[in-house]
Amino acid sequence: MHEWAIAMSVIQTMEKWAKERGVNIMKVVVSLPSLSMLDLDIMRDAFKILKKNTVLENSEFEVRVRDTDFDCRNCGRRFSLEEIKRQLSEVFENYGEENPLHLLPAFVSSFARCPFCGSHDFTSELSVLVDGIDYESDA
Amino acid sequence: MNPMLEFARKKFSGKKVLAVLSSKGGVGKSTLASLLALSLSEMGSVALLDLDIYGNSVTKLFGMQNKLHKVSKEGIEPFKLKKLSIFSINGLIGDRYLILPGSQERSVVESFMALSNVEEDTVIIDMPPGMGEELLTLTRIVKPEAIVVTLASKLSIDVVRKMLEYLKESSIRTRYFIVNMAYILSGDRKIYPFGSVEEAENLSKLYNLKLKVLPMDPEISKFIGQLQYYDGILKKEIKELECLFSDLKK
Repeated sequence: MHEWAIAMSVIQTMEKWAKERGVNIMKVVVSLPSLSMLDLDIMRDAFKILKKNTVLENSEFEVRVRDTDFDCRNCGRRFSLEEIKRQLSEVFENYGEENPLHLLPAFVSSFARCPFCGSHDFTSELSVLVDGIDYESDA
Repeated sequence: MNPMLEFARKKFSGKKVLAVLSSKGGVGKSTLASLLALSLSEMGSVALLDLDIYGNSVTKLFGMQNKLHKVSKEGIEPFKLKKLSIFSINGLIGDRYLILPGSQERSVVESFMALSNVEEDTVIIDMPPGMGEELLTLTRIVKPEAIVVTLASKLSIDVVRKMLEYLKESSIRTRYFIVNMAYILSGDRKIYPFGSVEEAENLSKLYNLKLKVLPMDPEISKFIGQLQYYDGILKKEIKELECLFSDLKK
């Protein structure tokens, strides 16, 4: 459900960015961490509706999912989401659709351990990222 | 570019944000923040945000520690107590532990503030003890007014002195300096279990702060889990933090 709020955060950020630089945005590429399992159709609909009556009215929004890799700060190994999926299935079962990882994926180290050393001490880039912007000067 | 940070900034801009802080733990920040929020909510709508992500106490104080926040299109919906809206990380993960590397701590606090559907103009923030990521993230999002809490003990005063120095240097407005649990009333006599409040008085003069010396109320332990029904001496004393209340009336 909070896909709308996330779309709004991107719209507001891009509006400000465009205004500060006096540019016209043609396309924005947004990436979401696979862990958050955000609904891409809802995201796309939200962008379509929220951009109306803003400077982004004619901008295209491309939304994609990026794989999440984790770096263990304890043993130094890197692992993929796939490797901890079994550990996380409990979270999805216990909390249902609006589970904590869907809402705030940065919670992940509390709910899983490094598959190599068992530590909770691992990190990853789990933000909503703007990966690319196509724009042209307003003038 | 960080959409969650921008979103959080926009959400909190123009709001009056009061952060209850202390560089020392166990001085009663959560209880005071909650009582302050309750009192202010008798006059108008108030949001209470629990940013003490490892030591969430606010929901426990109100007996809501097993409830989970609902999520709508607008984001995380608060627990409601009349005109008080409560937001807590506890309401996202339930009654279990949280352990986060520093970088994820930033992300959790930022996203939590960005995604909480705070509609109220007055926001009370219960901060974790100490000065670290949560304080930096909060002040990256919004410029709060600080309310600093201490005990009268020399140890506590010494740690809090450094926080006051930081707040002043960072131009974070601080008006109130609260000495919590300073005395116990025994008949007409006041007993000061942590010693005299003289050092706190000196510190408040040095930093030009209003000093508020609060008693310890043993009765309050009966209200943990139902703080909304507490009407004892602390509640009355908190209502005397005049400035905070008169600001709200404007």
